[in-house]
Amino acid sequence: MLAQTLVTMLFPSTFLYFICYIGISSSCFWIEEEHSPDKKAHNTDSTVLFDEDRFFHIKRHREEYGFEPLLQDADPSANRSVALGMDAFNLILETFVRCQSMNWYLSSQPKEKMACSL
Amino acid sequence: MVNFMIPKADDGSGEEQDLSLFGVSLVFQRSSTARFHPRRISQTQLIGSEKVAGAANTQVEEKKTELTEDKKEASIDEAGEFPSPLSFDTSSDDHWSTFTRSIQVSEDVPMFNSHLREQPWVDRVLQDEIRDQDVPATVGVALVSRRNVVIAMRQTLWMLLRDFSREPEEKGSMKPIDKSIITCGSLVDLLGTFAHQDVERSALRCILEPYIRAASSPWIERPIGSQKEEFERLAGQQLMTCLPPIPLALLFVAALLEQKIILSSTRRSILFSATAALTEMLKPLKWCHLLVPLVPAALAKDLIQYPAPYILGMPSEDPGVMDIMNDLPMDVTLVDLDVGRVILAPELSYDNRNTSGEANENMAQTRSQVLYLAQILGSKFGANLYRDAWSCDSPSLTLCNYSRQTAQRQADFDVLRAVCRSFVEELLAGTML
Repeated sequence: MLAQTLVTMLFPSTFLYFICYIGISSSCFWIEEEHSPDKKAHNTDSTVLFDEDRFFHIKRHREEYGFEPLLQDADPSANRSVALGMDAFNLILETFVRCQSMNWYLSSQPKEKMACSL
Repeated sequence: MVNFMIPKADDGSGEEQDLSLFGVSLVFQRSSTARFHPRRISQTQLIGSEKVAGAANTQVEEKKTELTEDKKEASIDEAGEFPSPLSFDTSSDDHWSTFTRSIQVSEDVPMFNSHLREQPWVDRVLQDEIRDQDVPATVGVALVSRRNVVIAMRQTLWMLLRDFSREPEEKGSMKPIDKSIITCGSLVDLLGTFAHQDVERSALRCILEPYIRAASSPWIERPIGSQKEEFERLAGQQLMTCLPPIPLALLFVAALLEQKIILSSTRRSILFSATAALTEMLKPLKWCHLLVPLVPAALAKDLIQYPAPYILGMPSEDPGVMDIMNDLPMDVTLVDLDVGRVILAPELSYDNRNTSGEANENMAQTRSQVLYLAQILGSKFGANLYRDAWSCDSPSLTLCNYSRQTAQRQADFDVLRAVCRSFVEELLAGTML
């Protein structure tokens, strides 16, 4: 929710909000804050914001559309992507997003992989 | 011979570098209950020697080892042989043949040589000069490195042991030999000489140099990380052999959810392999918590009470470890690599922020989800790894399209069948004429 509010603030136009936020497949937002207009000085603060609700929303979408659900009675050797459904594994996913390794992973990724705002 | 890794805490710099220390140790140990006896040692030395002297009907006694100075390049030829630094001088009389081992080293080490000519370490142990009655007599050597070069280190120690076990007429070789003809007496005496405090520090390096060079030679022209990759592949294969697909998936999910995990085995090297393979399976995630592949027995009791997630390897043969295993905290998942089972913790560990009443209520439900996920994921593992067994109900699987892997496993089954057959025959021995 916080991320949504932030994004809404960052993109005041509803249209921009729609095309920039709704369409992206990342639940991580790279927010870079510049303290001074002097570009030579290294005075920017970067924050990575992880939107947990959006992450679960994307998980639901992946299960419903396009990806093979993990529980489907298909050939288990099929080499296709699988989706972890929120209905069956919600608690696992909730535990996973609070893990230190997830935190490390999110903070170690480059900004090009996230929705980025300057 | 044990592979091990000594973890080192992150220095906080945030840089991606492996600060651990990797090593391989070769340890000879005699339990305090099995007392040394001079006669037995003499017999042990004679077993390998009878072959040499059989035709002349004489007895051979291995007497001396000494270091002589030499600089020789060591590398392995195509036949798997290398120019050993060991040479033998044999002298004989009517009844006895005595051979002396000479090790060519890169610099002179007179103090070491002088101690080597004194009473052998084994004899000193026999006389209880240098050991406590309750402590097993132990001597060994360990190679350590900041890089994961376990494969070359293991090869080095194997070549050292192999070379000191060989007969005078044999060439230095890396090829495996029957375990029963490995004799360690001369190597034990050599290593025991380092018990003297005044030997040259360079002596051990001089002895090991040719073996290290020969064992490292296959890797010299390859990328620096290739040995690590090779080890990780080998470790993964070992873990897959230890755990069937579903327990393997359960271990994987438990590690993903950062649970407290204890790996247990009588084989110490497999503990390091399993932790290395598990961390590799987690990529691109990283295990950010405590990871000790080989926990010393003295620390085991304290470490299992550590309040954050961990992966600990505990050799089940260490004193007191079985007692610890029988009384584990409720939030510890136990992985028995010998039996091939994973016992999920009755109470899963949670983040501190998530210890509300609701979270506790969900614990049992999360546990069932973990078990369910492990079953599904394990089936995926099985179907991809052992298709012939895990997809055997699939109509597409016919006898004609069995994979090449199957042929290898069939050969493995032949070996298994032969071992079982010999056991059953032993069981039945004496029942018939």
